[in-house]
Amino acid sequence: MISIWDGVLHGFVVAATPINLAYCFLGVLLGTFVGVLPGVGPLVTIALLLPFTFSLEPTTALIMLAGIYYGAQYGGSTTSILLNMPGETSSVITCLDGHAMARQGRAGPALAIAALGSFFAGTVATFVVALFAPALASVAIRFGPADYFSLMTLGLVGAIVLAQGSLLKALTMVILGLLLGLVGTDINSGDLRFTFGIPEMSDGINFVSLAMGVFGIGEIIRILVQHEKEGGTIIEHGRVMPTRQDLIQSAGPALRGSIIGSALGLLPGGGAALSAFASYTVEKKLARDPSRFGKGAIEGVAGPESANNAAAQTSFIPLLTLGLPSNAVMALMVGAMMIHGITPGPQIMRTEPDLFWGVVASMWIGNAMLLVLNMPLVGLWVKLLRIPYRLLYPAIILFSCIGIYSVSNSSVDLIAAAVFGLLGFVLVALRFEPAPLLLGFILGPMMEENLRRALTLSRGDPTVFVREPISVVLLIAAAALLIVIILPTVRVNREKVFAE
Amino acid sequence: MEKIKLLRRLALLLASGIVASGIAAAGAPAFAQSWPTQPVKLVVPFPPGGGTDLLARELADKLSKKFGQSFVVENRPGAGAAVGTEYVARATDGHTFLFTSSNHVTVPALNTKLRYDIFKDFKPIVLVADQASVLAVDPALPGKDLKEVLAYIKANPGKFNYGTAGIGSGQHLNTAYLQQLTGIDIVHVPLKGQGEIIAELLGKRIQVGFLVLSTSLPYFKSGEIRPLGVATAERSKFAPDIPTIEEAGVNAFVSRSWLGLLGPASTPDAVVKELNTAIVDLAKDPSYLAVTDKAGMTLVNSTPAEFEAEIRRGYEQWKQVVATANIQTQ
Repeated sequence: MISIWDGVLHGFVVAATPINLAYCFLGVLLGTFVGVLPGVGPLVTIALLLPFTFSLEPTTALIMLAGIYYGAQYGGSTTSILLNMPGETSSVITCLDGHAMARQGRAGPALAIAALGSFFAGTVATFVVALFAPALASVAIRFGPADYFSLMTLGLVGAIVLAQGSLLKALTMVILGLLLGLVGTDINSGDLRFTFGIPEMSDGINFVSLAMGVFGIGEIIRILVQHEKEGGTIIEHGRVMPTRQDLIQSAGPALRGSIIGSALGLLPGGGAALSAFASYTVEKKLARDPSRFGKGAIEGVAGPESANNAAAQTSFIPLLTLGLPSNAVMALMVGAMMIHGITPGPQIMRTEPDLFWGVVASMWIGNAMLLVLNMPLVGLWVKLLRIPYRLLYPAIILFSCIGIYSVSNSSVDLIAAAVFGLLGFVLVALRFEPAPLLLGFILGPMMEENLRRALTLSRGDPTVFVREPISVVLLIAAAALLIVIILPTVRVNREKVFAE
Repeated sequence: MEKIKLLRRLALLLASGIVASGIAAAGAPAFAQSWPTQPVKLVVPFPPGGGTDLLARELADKLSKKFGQSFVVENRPGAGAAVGTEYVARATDGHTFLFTSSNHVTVPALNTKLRYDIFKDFKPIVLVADQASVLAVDPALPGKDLKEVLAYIKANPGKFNYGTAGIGSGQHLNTAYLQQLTGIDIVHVPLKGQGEIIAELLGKRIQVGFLVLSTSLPYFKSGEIRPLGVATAERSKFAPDIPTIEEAGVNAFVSRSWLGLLGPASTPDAVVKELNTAIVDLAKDPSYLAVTDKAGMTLVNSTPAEFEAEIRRGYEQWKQVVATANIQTQ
C-alpha cells in the first residue's frame, strides 16, 4: 500500500487531469443548481445522470457524481437561508439563523459565510479522509446498535437546546416529531402503524414532504397572511459581503463545526444527519449570549454549514472502505461504482488507488471551485428576494411540487406536503418552532431501530447500554447536558417562588 | 431579474440537454411501427440505486436505441414492491411495464390483502437475469464446511443471530426456509439492507446472513466474511469455487432471486413477443454483457411461458415457507 502523502499527491495528479477537472466542475455546477431548486435534490439528479456516466472512466464518473452531491449541499443552504426551505436533513438547522439573517437584510453575509465555512470544512475533511481513512474504517465498525442508541439520545436531549422560547413547547415539538416518525412498518413484527390503509405510507412519511410542508409552505402561508395587501418583497438587501466582525465571529464555529462534522460523518448509521445539529447545539452552549440564536446569529450559520459539509465528505469513508452507504445518495453511488465493476470495500485503497485518492483529492478541488462559483453568485441569489411575492411564491411552490413528486413519483407525498404546510402555518402562528419537530422525526425512527436491535442482540437485557463503553460515555454526556439545561430553569423558577 | 431567469433556464437546459443528447443518440427507427407510439415507462417498484434499478436503466437505454422511442425508468417504491406493482396492474395506456425482482412473488406470499393479483393482472414477458445470493457467516464459527458450521449452530440453539433486510425480505424468507430444512435455531435481527448486514457481520454482532454475491466478493477474498454456499440451483460463474447450498448438504434448498419484465394483463401478445425478442437479442451486445457481468448477474432470457412457470413455482414455494414459519406482514 502506498503511504498517505504519496496517496494524496497521487490523488491530485489523478484529479487534476483536464477531463477530471471538467467533470468535477460539471458536477459541482449541476449540484449547485439542483440544490438551489427547492425540493429537487441530488438523489434525483444522480439517478437521472447515472446512465450517462457508464461511458466514462469510473474515477471520472465518481468525481462528477460526488461533485453533484456536495455541490447540492452548497446549493441547499441557499434555499434554506433565502426561503426557509431545507431540501435535505442537513440544511434544516441553517434555516434557523440563516433565514433570520435574511429577514434582517443580511442574506448576503449569511450566504457568504455558508460558502466560506463549507470551503474551510471541506479542506479540513479532505485531510481527515486522507489521514485517517484506513484506521477510521475499522473504528466505525465497532459502533454497535447500543452505541447508536445512546448517540441519538444525546442528540434528542440536544434538540431541546434548539428551543428559542419555551422549553415545554420545544419538548412538545420533539414528541410530535417522534410520533410522526412512528408511522410506517414496525421493524420487528412487520405490522403497520398509523398508515390508514394507504400502501404509500407503509414506509413512513416522506422527509421531503414534511420538511417542505412545515418549513417552506407553512412560512409562505404565514407571510401571505401577514402581508396580504402589500404584495411586496421579503426584504431590501443590505451589503452582500460579510464584515470583518462577521468573519471573526465565524472562525471558531467553523473550526469546531468542521471537527464535529468530520467525526460524525464517519458513522455509517446516520451520523451525518446529526452533524449540523450537534454543531448548532455546541455553538449555542458556548455562546456568551445564547439568546441571539434563532434571531440571526452568524455563528448559527457558520458552525452547522461547516459541519454538514465536512460530514458529507467524511461519509465517503464508510462508503469507499466499507461499502456502507450512509444515505440514499450514497446508496446510489454504490450502484454507480458497481456498474463500473468496482465493489466498495476494505480492498479498495489497495486495488483502486487511482479511484480512492483521485476522488478524495477531487473533493478539495471541487470545494475550491464551489467557492469561486458561489461567491459571485451570492449577490445574484440575494436579488432573488427582490422578486415580488406574487411571482416568487407560485414559482417556489411549483418547484417544490416537482421536487416532492420526483422523490418517489407519488401523489400521496404531495398531499402530505399540503397537509404539513397547514400544520406548519398553525405551528408558526402559535409560536412553536418546527426545527425540533423535524429532529424528533429524523432521530425517532433511528433511535427505535437501534434500541430494539440492541435489545434483540442482548436477548432483552437492558444493561447492554451501560456495559458497552462507547454507549455509557454517550449516556453520561446526555445526562450532563440535561442537567445543564434544566438547572438554570429550576433556579429561575425558584427565584420566582422566593420573590412571591 | 433577467439574469436569474437566464441562469435558471440554463440549469434546466443543461439538465434536459444531457437527457436529450442521450435520446437523440438513439437515432431514428429504421421502419414504421405500430408500437411503441409514445415513450415507454419501465416502472421499478424500488428506490433508485439497487440491482433492479441498475438493470432497468441499462435496458431502458438499450431499448430506446432499438425502438427509436424513449424508454424511461420510473421509480415507484413502497410497501415491499406493492405500490409500483399495483400501479402497473392498473395501467391501460399500453406503454407502462413493470421491471421487478422476485419480490414480485414473495410480497403476495406474505400479504393476502394486496389489491392486485400477480397471476390475473400481469403478463410475464421475460425473466432477464438471476442474481446469486450467498449464505455467509462470521469466520469465527468453527467447521470446515457448511454441514459442520450448521451442526455447530444447531448444537447452540438460540445463541447466534442472523441479519436480514427486514421482516419478509428475501434474506428473512431464505433463512426461515433454511431453518425449516435443518432445524437450526437462530435469532432474527431485522436490519436495513445488505450494507447493514455486512456491517453487523464485520462487527461480529451477527453471525449469519444471506448476501448478494457480487457486492460481497471482496469480503470473501479478504477472509472477513466466510461464504458457505450459493442459494441458487447451480454454482455462479462469478465464484465457481463456492458450492451450492444443496451440494454442501442441505437437501432441496433452492432459492431463486430473479429480475424480470412484466406487462399488465391487457398487453397484446404481439408486444410481449416483440419486447421478449428485443431483450433476448441484447445477449449479442458486448456493452450490455459488460454491464450485467460487472453487476454479477447471470443472464437467463426466458420465454414468457418459462417466466410464468417460475412465478408460479416461486409463489408456491414461499407461500409454504411463510405458512410454516408463521411470518406475517401486512
